[in-house]
Amino acid sequence: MKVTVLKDILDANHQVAAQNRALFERHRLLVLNLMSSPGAGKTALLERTLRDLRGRLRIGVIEGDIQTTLDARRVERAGAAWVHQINTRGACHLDAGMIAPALAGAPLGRLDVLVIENVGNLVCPAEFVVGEDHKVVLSAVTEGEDKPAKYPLMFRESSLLLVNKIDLLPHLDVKLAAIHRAARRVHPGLRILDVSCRTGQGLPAFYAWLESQLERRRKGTGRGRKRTRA
Amino acid sequence: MHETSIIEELLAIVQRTAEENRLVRVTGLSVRAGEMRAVVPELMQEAFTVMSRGTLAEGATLEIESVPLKARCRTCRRIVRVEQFAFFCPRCGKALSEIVSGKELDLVQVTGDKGDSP
Repeated sequence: MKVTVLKDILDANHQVAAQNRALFERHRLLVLNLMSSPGAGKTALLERTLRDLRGRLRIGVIEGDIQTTLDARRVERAGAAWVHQINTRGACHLDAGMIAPALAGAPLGRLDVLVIENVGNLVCPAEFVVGEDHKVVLSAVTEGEDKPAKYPLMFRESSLLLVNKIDLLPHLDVKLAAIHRAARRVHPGLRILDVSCRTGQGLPAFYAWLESQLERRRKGTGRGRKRTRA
Repeated sequence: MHETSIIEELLAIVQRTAEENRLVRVTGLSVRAGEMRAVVPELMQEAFTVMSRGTLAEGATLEIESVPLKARCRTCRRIVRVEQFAFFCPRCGKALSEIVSGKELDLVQVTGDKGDSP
């Protein structure tokens, strides 16, 4: 006997993500899903952002790591308004079902922005929505120029690309323009900001983006841009 | 790596489908995976073989159909094949924004045996 099903295999995740999203919307919270390969500087970006925006934005962080609470401690020290660590115990990405229980005791009403720092990985996190407004991908110049071509879904799904560690450019045979070109090949019109989380260069543009997205969210216009889903 | 998570979800849907249709054994599954989904068929097969052990779908064949990535050009309105993930229209050179296929990850069909009537 043949049974026609025609169902999205990740439907269960989409449904939990929609519940998370409804909760975020009730609290008018801007939620970012921050993704990159390991060591590109996600936690460094958060530390710097938390320090620079102290008193301006109340930022909560959910840290996703396979093991350890090292990153949670780092962002806590940097001044996060709320921190929750998820250890995936082997799983290479966060999914909506891991985020939902973390939100149960979260002071969402006292936050402006929630950043979900995904597990360092350029493949799997792009597959699982968690209820975010935007995916933000971070790529360090030390990773070379070909990452967007090799991991197209990640760069295609993200609203913003932060090219990090630009202070190292003098020591590398990497051209920023080539990274931009590769990213816009898979995602024409992608918003790109070049930054250094070590020196702080370029970060004010990221903070301005953050604040403009938060304003949009507060006005209820939701995402900055419409997405076409196949 | 995400193949194991996908198979986990797949097996849950298969189990439900089998129960709803009173299948005692699942012999075949067909899945459609868009090119954008970065699914590695060999890894899917391996994960399926291991993870389906002890389930109704143990020993079932898993057929994975790859769906080509296509997008519509806003300027010339044509639907074009996106090669190498370069989202530009090969005819007019404009950016391709609207994906029409290649992002799906669907369970299409389950084949199985009905139990003998009690």
